[in-house]
Amino acid sequence: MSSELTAAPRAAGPVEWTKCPSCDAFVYHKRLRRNLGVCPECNYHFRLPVQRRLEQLLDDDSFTDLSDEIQPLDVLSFADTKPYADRLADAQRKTGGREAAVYGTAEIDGHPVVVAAMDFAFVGGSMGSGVGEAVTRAAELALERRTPLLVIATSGGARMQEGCVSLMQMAKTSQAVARLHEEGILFVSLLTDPTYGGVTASFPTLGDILLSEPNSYIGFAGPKVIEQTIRQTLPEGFQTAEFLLDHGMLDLVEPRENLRQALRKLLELHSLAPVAGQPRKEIVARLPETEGRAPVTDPALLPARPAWDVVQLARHIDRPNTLEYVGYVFDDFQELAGDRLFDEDAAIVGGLARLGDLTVVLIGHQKGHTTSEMVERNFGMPNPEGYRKGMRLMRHAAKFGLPIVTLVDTPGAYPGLGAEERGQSIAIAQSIMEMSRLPVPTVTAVTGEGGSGGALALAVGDRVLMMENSYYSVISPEGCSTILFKDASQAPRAAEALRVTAPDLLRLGIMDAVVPEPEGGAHHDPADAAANLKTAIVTALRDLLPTPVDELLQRRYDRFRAFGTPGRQPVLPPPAEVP
Amino acid sequence: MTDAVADDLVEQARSSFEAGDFRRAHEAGQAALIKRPLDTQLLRLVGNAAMELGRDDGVELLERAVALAPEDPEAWSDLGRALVLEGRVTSAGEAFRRVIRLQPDDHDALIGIAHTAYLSGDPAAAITALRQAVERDSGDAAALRSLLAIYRREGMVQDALATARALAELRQDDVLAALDVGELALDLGLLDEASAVFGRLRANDEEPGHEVYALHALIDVELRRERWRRALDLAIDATRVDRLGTTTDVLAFVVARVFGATNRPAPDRPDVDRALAASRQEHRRMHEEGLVL
Repeated sequence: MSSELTAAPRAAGPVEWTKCPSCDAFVYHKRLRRNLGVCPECNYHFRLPVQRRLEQLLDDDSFTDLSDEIQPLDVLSFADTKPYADRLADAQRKTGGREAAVYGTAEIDGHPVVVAAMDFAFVGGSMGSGVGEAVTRAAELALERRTPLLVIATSGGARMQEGCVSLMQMAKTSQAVARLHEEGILFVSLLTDPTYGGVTASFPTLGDILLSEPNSYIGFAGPKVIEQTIRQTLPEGFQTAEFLLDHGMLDLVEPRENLRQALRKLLELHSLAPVAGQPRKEIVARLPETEGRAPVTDPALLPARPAWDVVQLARHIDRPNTLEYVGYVFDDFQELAGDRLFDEDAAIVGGLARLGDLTVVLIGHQKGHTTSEMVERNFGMPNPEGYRKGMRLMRHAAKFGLPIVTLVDTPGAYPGLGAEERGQSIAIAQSIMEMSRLPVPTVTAVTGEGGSGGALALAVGDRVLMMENSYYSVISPEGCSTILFKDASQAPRAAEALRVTAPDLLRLGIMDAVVPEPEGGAHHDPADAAANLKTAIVTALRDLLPTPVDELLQRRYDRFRAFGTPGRQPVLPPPAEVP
Repeated sequence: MTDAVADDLVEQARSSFEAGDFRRAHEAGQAALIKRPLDTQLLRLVGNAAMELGRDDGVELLERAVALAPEDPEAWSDLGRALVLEGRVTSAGEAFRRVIRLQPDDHDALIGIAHTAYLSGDPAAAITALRQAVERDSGDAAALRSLLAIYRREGMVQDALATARALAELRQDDVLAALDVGELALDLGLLDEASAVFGRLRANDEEPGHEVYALHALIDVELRRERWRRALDLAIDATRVDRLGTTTDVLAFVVARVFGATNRPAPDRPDVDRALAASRQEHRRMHEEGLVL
């Protein structure tokens, strides 16, 4: 006789519905939870309690809460209309937590992390001694274990009821984070809605990578305070994550459903950095096998083309740009945005990418192919923010020992009023200088136009390559023609005279090797061009990766020291006449 | 598979489900279904487990269950829940109506009918179902809240106010309910009631920084009463607790009304009304966020 179920169990309680505060639609509560707290009607991201947030981001059952000793301290015996101790007790009753932050260890797709996460429901996520202690302990644990730190921030700011002790948490947490930076420990910060005040002005914005969710409000002063102060209406979307991304303050904004995946990818990419002490041979072995044609180092083997023809090919609207090469040459590219100072400059793109089993930092100019894209990317002419973003990424590479690949394709740095106001020259100069001393292998390839200082700012590499039909010049042929030839129509002659093409630059020692292109130019077969580029980059890295840092820096110094040095600088015979 | 093995699997599925281990419940239940494909209770169990796991086969299993047992209200109820979870509101509404036909006093099904009807563009049916639900269980705050929201959206202000009063009576510390009563009383010109409610809200809403919202609402009441001196007192009080400076323009407007024009330009009345309405909206939103998840 078989036993049968008399009634099927049911997990759900009552059929609960909730009203979305953004679109007013009714949402089935369970559906909302399944949708990670994002309204299925309008995509509004609800604020999440800390436990829910951890459930969403971390591997199942991987979180070990180490916050047992974390308690708020009533250091001032503070009382307003109610004693602070009573307010804390209310918050503890309401949230079930002891403080507005927890910390512990966990895994994300198997990658170990130390996590500190804040809870806005607890006294507005304000930072007092307890929160500061949780974050600091998390940072110290990350340092001790040399494990990446993930901070999930949400806060109204410092906790007034703890007076200056609260203020000091900004310093306490920030100095703990500084140690992570000094020791090369990855720190990823997820800024969630809302994050404000003294919290934003301390540990969460000090992450190596700053990410957020759509429409999260993040700022220092609240928008109303600003409006009242400046007596102006603030723009739509002010202080949203998207606004901050546009203004260079965040690396990426991801919908909640993608956050876990984004974190996984970041952890994965950083886990593929060369490890200090690992035999160099093993690091080199992580580079991929390639199938492209070998780079050319003998100028005699390169086709002789009129320089002006090469300039036209280099500028061809269909010529592959950085992001296309990234797609062909690398895997798992994760773009990182912003200079963390003023703006996101789309004329330079950069981020992390995988080359075989080795992560590199990639930085390159980006022009685009359509009118709208070219306008958006300012025709590949960077503002100072682009170079500052580049430098930020170079420092990131240096911190984690990641090789750098730069792809150069710009008519030049943007000659604009704002660019001058914000220090275009200084940005370029600093980029050149910083590149010259980066303690990691750096490979540069000029893929299209190498327009003067705007190109050189990304081209102080250990190996400098150029595509067969690219050009590199101190000034545009048109500019030189106007100034020196006193006639704008003499650009072809100027191009020839300036010796801007691959064979001449190879002879001058400016270039180390030339990447072959398919017949007719890279745009005729981008895949073939990219395969050749990949071979050239991998070949260069195979040479560079085994080199000790001191030697790398000395060789780089010697390389650029030789230019124009009597006896070391090759001199070219006069060019052929241009008809 | 012997009956004994199937029994074990069924028991394993049931106990796993009750322990919240839906994956194991689904696996064991699926295995048992091979032996007992027509067992509607087992189908429901596996279907419910699938829904908890976010699997695609949940609705299909529950549809099989109702096809085999079309007179089982529980099976229809499970299907309704599963469909609404999938966002298929029209079909979910039909399933909930089947539940009511079989079991007219099923409260959850009425709630389901109401919300799916509203989402399908039938507010009248939604209101009818919610009224029935509230008549049967006057203590269901969630149903009252939904009814109130629908009344307000449909412009049925008197009904909304009556519902808001009932909700506020039921949940005396419910800030949102008080806000609804206050706002609706304000809209209907019941200024004494609005004043009393916002006055209580000022005392009861203990969230840090929220007193200013109640004060703004009280200022709004006094502006409508044209009691400028009282509005001035409240605006001064609001300024004292308003660290964001949102009362400055309101204060300037009231000062201009009481003392005449000053050097500081004062905003127009419509601007002040908009600012006060925005303050209430913000207050509401802060508490609405606290209701969920």
